[in-house]
Amino acid sequence: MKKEFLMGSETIVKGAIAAGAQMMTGYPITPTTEIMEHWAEEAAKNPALKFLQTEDEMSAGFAMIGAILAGVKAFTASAGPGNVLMQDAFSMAENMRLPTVAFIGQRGGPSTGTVIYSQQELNLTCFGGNGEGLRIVYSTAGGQELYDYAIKAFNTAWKYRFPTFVLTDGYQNKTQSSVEIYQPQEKQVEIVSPTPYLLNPQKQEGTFTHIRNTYNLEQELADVLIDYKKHFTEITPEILEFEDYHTLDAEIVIFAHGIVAAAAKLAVDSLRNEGKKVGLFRPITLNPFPKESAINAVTNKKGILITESSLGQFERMVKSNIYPANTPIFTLKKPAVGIMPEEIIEKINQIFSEKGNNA
Amino acid sequence: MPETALPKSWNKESKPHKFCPGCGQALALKILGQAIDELDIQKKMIYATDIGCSLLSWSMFNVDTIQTHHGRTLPLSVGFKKAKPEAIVVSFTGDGGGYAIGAQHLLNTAMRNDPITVILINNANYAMTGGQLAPTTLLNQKTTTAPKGRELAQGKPFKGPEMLAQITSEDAHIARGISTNYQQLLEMYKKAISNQIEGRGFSFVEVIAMCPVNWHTDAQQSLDFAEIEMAKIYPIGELKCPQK
Amino acid sequence: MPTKIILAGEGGQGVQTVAKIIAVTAQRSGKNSSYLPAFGVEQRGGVSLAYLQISSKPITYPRFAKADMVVAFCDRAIPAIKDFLSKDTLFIYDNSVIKNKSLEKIKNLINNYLAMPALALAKEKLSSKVANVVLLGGIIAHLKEIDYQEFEKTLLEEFADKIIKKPEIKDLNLGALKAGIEIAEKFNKEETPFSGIEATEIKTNFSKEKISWQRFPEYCKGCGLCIVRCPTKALQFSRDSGFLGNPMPIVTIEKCIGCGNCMQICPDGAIKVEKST
Repeated sequence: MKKEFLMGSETIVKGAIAAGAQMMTGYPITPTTEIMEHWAEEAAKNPALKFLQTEDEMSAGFAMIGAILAGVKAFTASAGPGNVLMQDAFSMAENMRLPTVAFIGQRGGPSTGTVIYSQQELNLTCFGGNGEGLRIVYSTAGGQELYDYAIKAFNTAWKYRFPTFVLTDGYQNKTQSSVEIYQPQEKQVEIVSPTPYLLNPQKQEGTFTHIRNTYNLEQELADVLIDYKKHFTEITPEILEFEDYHTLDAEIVIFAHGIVAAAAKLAVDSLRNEGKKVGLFRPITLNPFPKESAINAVTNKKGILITESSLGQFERMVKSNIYPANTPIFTLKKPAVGIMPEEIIEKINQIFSEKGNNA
Repeated sequence: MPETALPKSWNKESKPHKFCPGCGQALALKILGQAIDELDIQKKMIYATDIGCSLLSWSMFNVDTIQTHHGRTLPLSVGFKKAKPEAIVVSFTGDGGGYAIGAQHLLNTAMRNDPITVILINNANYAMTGGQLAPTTLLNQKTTTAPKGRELAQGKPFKGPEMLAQITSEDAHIARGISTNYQQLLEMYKKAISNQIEGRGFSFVEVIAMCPVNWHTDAQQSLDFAEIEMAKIYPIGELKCPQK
Repeated sequence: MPTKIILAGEGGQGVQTVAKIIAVTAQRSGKNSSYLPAFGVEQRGGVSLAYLQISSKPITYPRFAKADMVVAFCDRAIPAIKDFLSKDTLFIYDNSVIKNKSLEKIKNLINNYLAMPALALAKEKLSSKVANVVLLGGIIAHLKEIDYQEFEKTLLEEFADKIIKKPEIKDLNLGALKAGIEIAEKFNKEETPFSGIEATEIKTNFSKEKISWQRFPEYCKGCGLCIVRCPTKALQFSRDSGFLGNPMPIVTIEKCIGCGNCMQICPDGAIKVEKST
């Protein structure tokens, strides 16, 4: 086992290389620029790794798609306004079931906002574009997970052929920490091989592939989407991931995702030390959402606390998934601001003393 | 069945194609089919097409094809070429895709001398959406969004090849042809694609094309507008030809 | 209940113009009307549909599943309109364009029909461009609650710009409208069976010593570029139609010099010229 002291962005690049990524496209934007820089450095050393710094995020998204059509494991990284522009390409990837992989470092919004941190790109990443949100989104909590889920994202994308995202933020990307770097085979993780969409040497002689995103008739498009949705639903049980931390005997269950879940975990530990029965439910896949497990986690509880660095994007997602559970819901929401374990502890204590306000 | 007059590389399943009667873009694609045949590259190339009337060509050829989003055909092509340098990449777009919504991509692709071939249709309007003002609309030419005709305040007709000739390296191939001159356009296409095959870099052919439906012209008027009015503003010829 | 009419034809056959004229006229006559054009991404060349409703009450939803009147302009319209047919639907179609083979597919669904040789009549007596107005006449013959004069007025307004340039367009359109109404009023199912045309052989090959000239009706859209490009004026429009119903060019082979200009200018690959040396 090899432990390295790495910045989050560097961990992501090492994970991508371990997953067999061959090409990155991108346009610099804080807090994901270092992903590009580390990749560019690796590509300068290894001619098998390709790199394209494009003129903007639309170009980065579509150049990634071009490379994927050629059968190359390509990825990109972006944030905030860059993520907005890239929805153009992700929408096409959704339409054509292309295995795009994108690392989204959430920063404050709307607009240029702030440059390091938020949890405000949940809606955009899970449901952006003019489509149905047939995307797979992992929300990581920093450190080791950036390596693990970088590997997983490429495998998921190329196995199931839905656009796949790893949702991080500037705290995660910029923090330096100790990470275990391993080869996927050491952990019995099999790497899924890419296959080209165009100029595929395996295809039957004399046949040609025509891929389009425009349909003529309403029903023609509907049939395609219904079929995609069916596949998405079928594979959902294989993809769903969540972390259940002491919810079984908990009276109050905290709902948090990403790095906020790491703060919530500290809060749970501290509260448990005081004998307070608190648990944490953390969806790792935000899309698809671990609905059944979330419902189980909230059933017969005294209350739920939903906390996030946004004004309710995660809250809406949780509520729609646990409906019609009638457990009282409390919230701690801070747009584009980090949430400290102490704040969560305070909020939980308020709820226990029945001073907390219902959301 | 008698032998057809279609290029060998045209996909017969999708014919008759869906372009309007008298469409210059369809004609430009017929000549492109001939160029593909003569260069014998059907199985070594991909064809990437934009949105706008160009989307109607998504199944035009018996060539592996990708239809992209509006203006994004060039970045996709550049990404494909980077990933698979041995493939021949031909990108097809209109004057909206190349000179307006995707202008930044054309500019940067040309500037980087990316080794792809771009064919851009100039029909002086946005045809798919019913004839709106385009960067290439002539002064005084009426469109649905310039009902009194284009005024200088709406900008001068945009000269793409002239701009690209200024910003590209000496290895780039830049030309303007017209879909009504079969032999000349065929040669331009072949030279442009050869520029890519021979590894020199970026190649670009703008093609002046008739749009009778949106111009509201009959056959003779269409030819006159393209060959006389448009050619006056947009001179036909090679602006950069490293093969000379 | 509103009167629901669906019209379908090739893009460029004038389907939308007919629908618009009816909708505007109904509105002016104090009725409520709703007209929704529905076509694919192409401007011309795809099957174009028009949803039309006329009612004495406000119309709130522009679409419907079954129609009181279905109007088919061409063969390719048949699959598109099939689902709109019910046992009470009046099916209006051009029996000089639509082939028996196409009608065979819906025969069992048709109880009430009006067969109109719109294109043949227009070509023979007026101009092929007003075939759609003949069909318009057939439709309005069944819309008795709206005054005929109002239809005439809207029709002339629709073509006002063109009439200024070519005054004869006025009489061509009015003639077509009247002819359409007349066919509809005299129509008798006993005399005119539910049938169309048999696929006819069009002469496609013309040759003389060393030169062979071929045309392909399955590709020809009738744009006329070949005709104006011919240096010896060997080409002209013929009575034969290409797949869109537009007139096709024909060659006077004696005048042909085999230069191939017509073949080169054709965007559709519908002409082939071979010259042996």
